[in-house]
Amino acid sequence: MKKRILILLTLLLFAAGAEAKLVVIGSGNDTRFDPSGFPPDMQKAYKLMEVKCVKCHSLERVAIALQTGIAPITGGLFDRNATRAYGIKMLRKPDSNMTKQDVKIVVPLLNFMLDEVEH
Amino acid sequence: MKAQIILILLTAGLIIPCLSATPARAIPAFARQYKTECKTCHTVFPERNEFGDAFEKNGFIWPGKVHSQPQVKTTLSPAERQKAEAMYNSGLPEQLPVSLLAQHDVTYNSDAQPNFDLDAETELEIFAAGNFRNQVGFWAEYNFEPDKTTGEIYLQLQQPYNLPFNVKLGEFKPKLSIWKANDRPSLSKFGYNGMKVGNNDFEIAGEQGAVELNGVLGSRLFVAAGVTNGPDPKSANNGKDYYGHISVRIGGTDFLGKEPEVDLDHDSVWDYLTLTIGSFGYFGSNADGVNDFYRAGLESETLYKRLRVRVSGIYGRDDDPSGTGVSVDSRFALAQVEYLIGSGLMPSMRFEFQDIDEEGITRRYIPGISYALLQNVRFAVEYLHETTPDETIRETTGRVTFVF
Repeated sequence: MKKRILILLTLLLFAAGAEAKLVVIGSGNDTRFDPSGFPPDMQKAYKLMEVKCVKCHSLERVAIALQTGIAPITGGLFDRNATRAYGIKMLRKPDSNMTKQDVKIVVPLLNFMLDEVEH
Repeated sequence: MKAQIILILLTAGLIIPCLSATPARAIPAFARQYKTECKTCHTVFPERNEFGDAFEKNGFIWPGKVHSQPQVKTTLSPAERQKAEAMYNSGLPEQLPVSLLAQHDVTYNSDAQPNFDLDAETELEIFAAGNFRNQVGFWAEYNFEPDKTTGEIYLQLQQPYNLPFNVKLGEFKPKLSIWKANDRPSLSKFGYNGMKVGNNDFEIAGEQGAVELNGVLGSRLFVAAGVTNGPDPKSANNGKDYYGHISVRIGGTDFLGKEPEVDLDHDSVWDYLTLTIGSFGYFGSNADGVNDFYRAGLESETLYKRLRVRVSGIYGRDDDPSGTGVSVDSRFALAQVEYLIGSGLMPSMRFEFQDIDEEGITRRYIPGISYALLQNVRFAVEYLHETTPDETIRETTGRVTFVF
């Protein structure tokens, strides 16, 4: 009986982990996320992120920030406040081609991905 | 033989750390240290953007990072962790923070011989810069060609002992103008930086042995004040020169590198507009106290998206700059407009007006264009049309610059 409970607990742990896991594929400039488990609106937002964000930097930078909670260059916290600040920073970069509408889509996606990691 | 071996070992000691450094897209020390691209701080190098300005004001410490503890990654092996900790405790950067700048000029001037000079000037400069434990910023440079001399060499103690200001000391350019001398996409330096009056060797951007206190008050006010030996330290003059600077930024990234609040639902001109206004004063004495002089300046920079407009006005008075008993007033005005196209093409146009009593009026019209092929490789062409009381100069300069 004890053994069964232990197995169940282990399975539960794995299940929770699998659900929360943000799947990162590849490394370096080829880094991508697997959005198959995202809700439809977030999948749509992810398509935008793949186009807009990689114009200037790889998604590896985003993956590190999301997974560690630390922005890899600044060393600052990467939380919900930071996602908005980064969105504005990218919006104001002269050659980013980001619009306010883009920021309004990508920032909630980053927050969603943060939640995925935190869970 | 022994000397040769020592030389080889020293050379190897210098080169090997560079070779073993983490690959980082062939850009200099700061980019290597922070693993970021040149564009984080520059538009078309060496011109800085708002964040680059904040980084420089913060003593080459990443804004927001103050007195941090070592970031030792848990994935490191025990030996690597020990090394990282030892480096931190010693205050040493993990990578040798050295960069090289090389550039070559060609010129065309129909009044010069040769008209088309493919060997106008070649420059090679090495500089080391960074910070020790996020507490002390440093800068040191040496120009191999053509000057064969050291440039700025200084330390900046970042709010030492929790004082509300930074302490900068060494040989450096006093903080006067809101722009560093090389903070421009154009080739020729801003005329006021090299303007001399009579026999007075003082230049706005001349390096001097100095001590400066500076700091950001709040987040949008920057002040600096310092004392220097003056431009002719070899004289018997025991007097010191004094200077002060104040600048304020309205809108845009503040002096601490923080982005402004932007309403994502409504458009405002302040979403992209940055206005920086600065003023300075320099009070000096040279020629063994015979020539007391001052310079006072008022400057502004307006940045809107890709457009940057700079305006500067400087007034000066020298009691007796040439030992003739005659006082001399000087005036300088500058306006420059530049526009960033794409991510690396920047045309610019500058007008300068210089009026020095006894010498007359000089006007300069300087259109130019810079192109960054890569973030660390730049091509630029500039035309100078200069009219002085004695002559008219028409010269075109082409320059290739690379840094690594």
